[in-house]
Amino acid sequence: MNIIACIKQVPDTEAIIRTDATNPSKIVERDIKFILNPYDEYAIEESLRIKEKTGNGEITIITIGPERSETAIRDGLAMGADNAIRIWDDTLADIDPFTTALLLSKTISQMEYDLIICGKQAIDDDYIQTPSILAELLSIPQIQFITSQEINTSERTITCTQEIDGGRRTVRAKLPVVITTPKGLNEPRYPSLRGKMQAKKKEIPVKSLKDLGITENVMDLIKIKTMKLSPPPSRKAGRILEGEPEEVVIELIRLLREEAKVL
Amino acid sequence: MKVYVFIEHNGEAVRKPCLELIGGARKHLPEAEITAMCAGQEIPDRVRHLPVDNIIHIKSDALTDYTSERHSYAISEALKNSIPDIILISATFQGRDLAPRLSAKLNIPLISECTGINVDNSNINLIHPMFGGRAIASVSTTKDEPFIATIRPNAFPSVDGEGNPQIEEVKVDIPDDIQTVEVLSVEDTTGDMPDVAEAPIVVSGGRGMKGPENFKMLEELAKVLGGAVGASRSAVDEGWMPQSHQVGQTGKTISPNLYIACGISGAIQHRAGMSSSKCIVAINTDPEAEIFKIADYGIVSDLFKIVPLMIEKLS
Ligand SMILES: Cc1cc2nc3c(=O)[nH]c(=O)nc-3n(C[C@H](O)[C@H](O)[C@H](O)COP(=O)(O)OP(=O)(O)OC[C@H]3O[C@@H](n4cnc5c(N)ncnc54)[C@H](O)[C@@H]3O)c2cc1C
Ligand SMILES: Nc1ncnc2c1ncn2[C@@H]1O[C@H](COP(=O)(O)O)[C@@H](O)[C@H]1O
Repeated sequence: MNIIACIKQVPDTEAIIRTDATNPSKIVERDIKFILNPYDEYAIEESLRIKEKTGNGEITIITIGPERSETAIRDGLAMGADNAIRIWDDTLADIDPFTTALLLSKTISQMEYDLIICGKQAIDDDYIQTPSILAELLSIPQIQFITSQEINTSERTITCTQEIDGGRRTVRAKLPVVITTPKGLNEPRYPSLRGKMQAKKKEIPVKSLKDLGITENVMDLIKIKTMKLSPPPSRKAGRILEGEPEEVVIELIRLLREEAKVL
Repeated sequence: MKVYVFIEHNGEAVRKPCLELIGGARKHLPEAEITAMCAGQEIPDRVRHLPVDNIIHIKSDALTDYTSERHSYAISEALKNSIPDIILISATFQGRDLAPRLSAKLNIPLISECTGINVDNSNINLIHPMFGGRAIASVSTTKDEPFIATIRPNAFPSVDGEGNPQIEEVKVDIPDDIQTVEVLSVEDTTGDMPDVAEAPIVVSGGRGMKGPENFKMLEELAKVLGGAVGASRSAVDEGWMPQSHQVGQTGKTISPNLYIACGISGAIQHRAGMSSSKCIVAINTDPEAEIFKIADYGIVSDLFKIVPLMIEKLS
C-alpha cells in the first residue's frame, strides 16, 4: 500500500488572529505559532496504522506551503511517515482550495499510489473543499469523515463507516480513493526520540510549478479570493442572574421568552 | 438572476437546512428567479409544492442512494447547457461532500461554509468565518462567473408555505462504469432528536457534568425544548458523549437560536464552535469562567440544581 497524506501547516488553535493594516485580506503572521493541522495529524496516524496492518508500501507526505511548513512535515516524518514533498513558489501565497487540489493532483498523478488521506478540514481557511476536488480531478471516489476503515488488499477495496447527519453509513470502493479524517478516528501517537532524529535527517525535496509542468499564471487558476478579513462581531458579556435557584430559573425562562424571544 | 437551491431529501422528507436556502435567497436576492433542484428516482411530494418558481427533478434510479460521484455527475449533466448564476447547497454532510466535487466537475468556483450573503450594488460577497471564527472573511469569485456556495445550517430563516412551481423532469443516464463508492448500509443513530448542527436549540454539557449518567438530564431538557445535546471536547474525550456531539474547533460549528452551556468553561476552541449562537446561556459554578464573557444570560450556580428546575418549569 502506497499512501499519500496531504497536510497543511496552520496557526495554532489559540493564536490571536489580527489582520494586516496594509492588506485587510491577510493576517499578521509574526508572533503566531504554527502547527500541523490537527485533522491532518489524524490523517498521518491513520496512514501509519494502515501501513502497519498491511505490512508494506510507503507513506509520502505532500504539502503546498512556504518554508516554515517544514516543521509540520518533520512532525509527520517523526511520527513515522517515510517521505515528503513540499510544493512551493512565491506565487502560491494566496491560493484557493481549487488551485491547491489542482497542484496536488498534478503531483500525485505522477506517483504510484493506492490511497490518499487528507484531514477533514484545514483549521485556517475552514473550507472543507480540497479533498473532494482532488478526488474529482483524479477521477477517483472519495469517502469523507470516516469513523473506521478496513482494507482488503487482495480485492483492492476499502470499506469505511462515515459519520453522516443523524447517523452513520457504510460504503465500499475500489482503491485508489481519497479518504478524510475527523477527530475521534484515532489517537495520534507521540513521535519517539528515534523518530524525531530520523526525521531531522530526511531530505525534503521542494517542487516548483515548473517541476509540475504548470505554465499558467497562478492568478488565472485561482477561483475565489478573500476580499477582507474582519474581527468577529464582539459579544458583550450579558447579565448574571442572581437569587435563589428557583427565582433565577423563572427569570431566565421569562427573559428567553420575552427579551431574547428564543423560546 | 437565476438561483438554484439543492434540495436534499431521504425519500420522504426534505431537510430543513435546504428550506433555509430558499429563505436566504428570498431575503438577500429578492429579484432572483429561484429553482429548486432535487435528485433521485423519486422525490418527496413536499418538493413539488415548495414556494419557489421552478423545480428540476433530476431523475435516475442510480440516485436512490446518495454518492458524491453519481450525484455530481447527474447534476452536472442536467445543468451543462444552462448553468445558473448561483447554486446554493447546505453545508450538511451531503452538501459538504457534494459541492466541491460538483464545482470541479462544472469548473466553477465554490465558496463554502458560509453564514451570510452580502449584496452591494451588483457585487455579491459571501460571509465565511475562518480560523475557527476568529476572523470573518468576505469572499468573492475572482471572475464574474456562476458559482456555488454552501451555507451553514441556521444562517437564514426557513420558509414554509406552499407554491405552485413549474416542474421539469430531467432524466439522466449514469454510466455503469463510473468510479464510485457503493453504499452498503445507512443507519439512523439519533432517532427523533435533531442533529446538533441543525437544531434550533442546543443544550451542551462539559466536564462539569461529572459523568456520562448525568447527560440524561440534558437530554430531557433538550427534549422539552425541541433541541439537541452537545458536548465539550473534555466530555467527549472522557467518553461521556459520542464524538458526533462535540461542539468546537475540532467538533461542530453551530449557530442555534439558543445555546445552553452547562459546566463548560468556555475555552477558545469551544467558543470557536458556538460563539455565533444567537443567544447564549451559561450555567457554571465558577464566576470567573470564560464562558460568562460571551453569555447573554449567566447563572453562577450548581448545574445539578438549575437544570432539573429548568426541566420542571418548562415541562
Ligand atoms: C487542538 C485543540 C482542539 C480543541 N478542540 C476543542 C473542541 O472542538 N471543543 C471543545 O469543547 N474543546 C476543544 N479543545 C479543548 C479546550 O481547550 C478545553 O480543554 C475544553 O473545551 C474544556 O472542556 P470543559 O469546558 O468541558 O472542561 P473544563 O475546562 O474542565 O471546565 C469545566 C467547567 O465546569 C464547571 N463546573 C464544575 N462543576 C460544576 C457544577 N456542578 N455546576 C456548574 N458548573 C460546574 C467548572 O467551573 C468549569 O468551568 C481543543 C483543544 C485543542 C488543543
Ligand atoms: N496547502 C495544502 N497542502 C496539502 N494539503 C492540503 C493543503 N490545504 C489543504 N490540504 C488538505 O485538504 C484538507 C482540507 O483542507 P480545506 O479544504 O482547506 O479545509 C486538509 O486537512 C489537508 O489534508
